[in-house]
Amino acid sequence: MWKWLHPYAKTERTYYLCQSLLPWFSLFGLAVILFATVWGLAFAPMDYQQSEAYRIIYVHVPSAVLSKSLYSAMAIAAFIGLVWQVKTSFMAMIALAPIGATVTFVSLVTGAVWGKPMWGTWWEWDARLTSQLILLFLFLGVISLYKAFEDKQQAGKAAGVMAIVGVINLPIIHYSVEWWNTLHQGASIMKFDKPSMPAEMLWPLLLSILGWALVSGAIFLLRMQNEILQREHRRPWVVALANKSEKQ
Amino acid sequence: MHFEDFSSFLDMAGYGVYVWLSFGCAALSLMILWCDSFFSKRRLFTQVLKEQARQARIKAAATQSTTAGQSATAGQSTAAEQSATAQKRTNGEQV
Repeated sequence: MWKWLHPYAKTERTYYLCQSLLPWFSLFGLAVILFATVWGLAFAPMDYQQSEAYRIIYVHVPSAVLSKSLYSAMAIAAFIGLVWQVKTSFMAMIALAPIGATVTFVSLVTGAVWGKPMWGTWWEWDARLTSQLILLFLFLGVISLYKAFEDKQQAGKAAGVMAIVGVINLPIIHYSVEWWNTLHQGASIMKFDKPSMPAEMLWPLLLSILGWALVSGAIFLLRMQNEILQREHRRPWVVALANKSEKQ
Repeated sequence: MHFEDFSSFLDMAGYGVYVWLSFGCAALSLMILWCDSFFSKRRLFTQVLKEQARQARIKAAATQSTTAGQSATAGQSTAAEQSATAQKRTNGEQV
């Protein structure tokens, strides 16, 4: 049943898969993210309580959602790499880590910028904010641990274990607003039965999450290709590819 | 369009600084990440070409030194070994 997956353990095949997917992810990602951002910034109605400041939601929520999804994806890649000894899986893991770190950083910064006018403070050591900061450190930890090893197979294993252990932080982030008294508000869109947001505000938000996901996907494809090129730089197909790119 | 004119769009009911700061930070971060990913691909290709040129030079030097003199000295034999290694590398074998 899963036999069709086997050829992708070969890096050359994966490289060309990334190559063919890349333009679609880039094109749709850019289009969706621009469309959703313009919709959210200029066309969505105003919030009765937070006035226009609530529009930060259209960049804060997508980055926060993506930070958790990217961490999960990274941990799954690490798990596959550790259990089935798939080399490309570790490459996927380390390709995802900097993207995750960036979106986590964006979610923290936009959260601070939103907190200043609404809560009166840039930063507070409360449960949601602190656990999200730990997520950033986990991403950075995985990257630095991977870079600390010369042998990349060893590096993948060590960083992979760290990525898997860090999964414990994901439910903590998610339920932090319920378990503790935090400044941060509870979930408003993840209640699918009855989202506490009007449709004119919800649609641009959902679209911007999709846009962020597609753009992250495009950057992932690029970084995955880079990882493959770095690891396989002596293979004839890589040398041929480099020669071809030079002529263009 | 929710706003009446462009200046009220920029002003965001007094929250303009916060709104534009957060959107600017997000755009900048994603752009830097994309540029890093995009340009490191080019850099990797240049590195591969450099390495290939280096191997070719080693190979050329080795063949030159073996054709120049017939007597097998220690220096020449290492040059020949190097050329063999270079050949294997370009074939993509593990050395």
